[in-house]
Amino acid sequence: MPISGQSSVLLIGKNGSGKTTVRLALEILQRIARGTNRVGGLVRPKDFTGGRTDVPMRFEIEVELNARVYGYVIAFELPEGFKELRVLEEKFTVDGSPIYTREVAQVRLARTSQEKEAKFFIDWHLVALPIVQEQSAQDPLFVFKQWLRRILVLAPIPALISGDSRQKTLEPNVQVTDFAAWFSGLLAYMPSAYSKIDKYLKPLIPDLEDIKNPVIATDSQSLIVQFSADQGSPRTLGYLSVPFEDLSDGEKCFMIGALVLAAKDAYSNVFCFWDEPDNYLSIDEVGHFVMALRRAFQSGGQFIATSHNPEVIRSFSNENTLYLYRKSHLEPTIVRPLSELQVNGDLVDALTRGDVEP
Amino acid sequence: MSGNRSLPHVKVLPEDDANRQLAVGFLQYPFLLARNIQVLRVARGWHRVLGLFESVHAIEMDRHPDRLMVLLIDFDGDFDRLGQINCQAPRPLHGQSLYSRRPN
Repeated sequence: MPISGQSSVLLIGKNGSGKTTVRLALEILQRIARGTNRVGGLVRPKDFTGGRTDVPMRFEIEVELNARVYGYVIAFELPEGFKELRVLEEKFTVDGSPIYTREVAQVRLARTSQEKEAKFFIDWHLVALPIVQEQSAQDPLFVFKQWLRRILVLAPIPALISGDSRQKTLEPNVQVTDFAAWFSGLLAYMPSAYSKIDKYLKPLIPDLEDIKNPVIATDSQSLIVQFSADQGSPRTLGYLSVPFEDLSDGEKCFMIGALVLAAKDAYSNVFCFWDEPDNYLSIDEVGHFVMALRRAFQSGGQFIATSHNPEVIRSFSNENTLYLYRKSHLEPTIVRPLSELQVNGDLVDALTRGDVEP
Repeated sequence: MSGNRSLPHVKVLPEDDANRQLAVGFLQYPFLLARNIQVLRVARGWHRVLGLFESVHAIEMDRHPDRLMVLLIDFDGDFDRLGQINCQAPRPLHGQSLYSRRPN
């Protein structure tokens, strides 16, 4: 994916072209960083493209964090007679130098100035990244794993989001059903994040007064959103308290957007992949919503969106829009920057006509 | 619940996709109140910019006094076009247009 150096990128393409597959690949890498190390919990035999088990399934990611380039590669295979995939190859590098490499069961830790190269064997059905112990917060393994754990891979389903939480997290799930735990975790990590959330939401929801998160039982909290009567309103109703789960789907997405912006400020190098951020939003809000995210990530991190929505597509320029295309389910996805494609007239019209092809 | 239309806001009506991308790039400026600016769908030609302005946006500007319109038009080296634009503008807006020339 040619996304290096871009603060925000839009992925467009027809249904089945592979946009959501990018999200699924990121989810797998994220699950590894979050501690899932059993291969069977990450990928299954049915995940091989077209059932072609003779070609290894390979995931690669490279990220520049504080002027160092971290690379991680993992490949899975399904030898004949196996029911579960195993690790064929695994490698973690910093600035091109390996920290560890692995072939099937054998892991080699690179030699440091004090220590010799170390070798050990690991069950080939286990991924090494979550297992190799980092030495300190400066250890490249720690830096990379923390970044990968905290990337935001989002495809929210607002109807499933309640305001209740029993714990705190900085690592929301894809559907953001743990929104309340993320809200609690973010504010515990950086209390000033609330001012960012408030600053973003007030112009969007002018009658928003505040968001409370009272304790409702031992170790349990529940978000309450408080609205006030507009200033100058002839009828003053005072405040209206609404449980978070009773907000509209679109309002819940505004809240998620606010948390993304707050998270971006709270910890550096945030990467956010949002699958169809326009879902659930009114048409007049879509452009503003996406533009707010694009602008925020200009100062660091990276924001990737997928969409079919004309308003989202118009919120990006050709040089930061990628077109994904594949001729059939048997062929791989082709990715092309829109700036390299011939588009006659308005892009949305060309997409509507089905005239955009690499 | 949408933003407040009673606050000053700007709608940008671009002539073509190149001008749209220019406007979208401008919205990336970090110190902008971007929520107060919206880039509209391209009009496809400067004549159509004027047509849309007259038939839709001038009327909406009457309804929303805090709205400003930016008509993003290529002059294509023809600066007489500004005269034509001014002539076609609704009467209350005559002589109120400001234009900026994009460097070649």
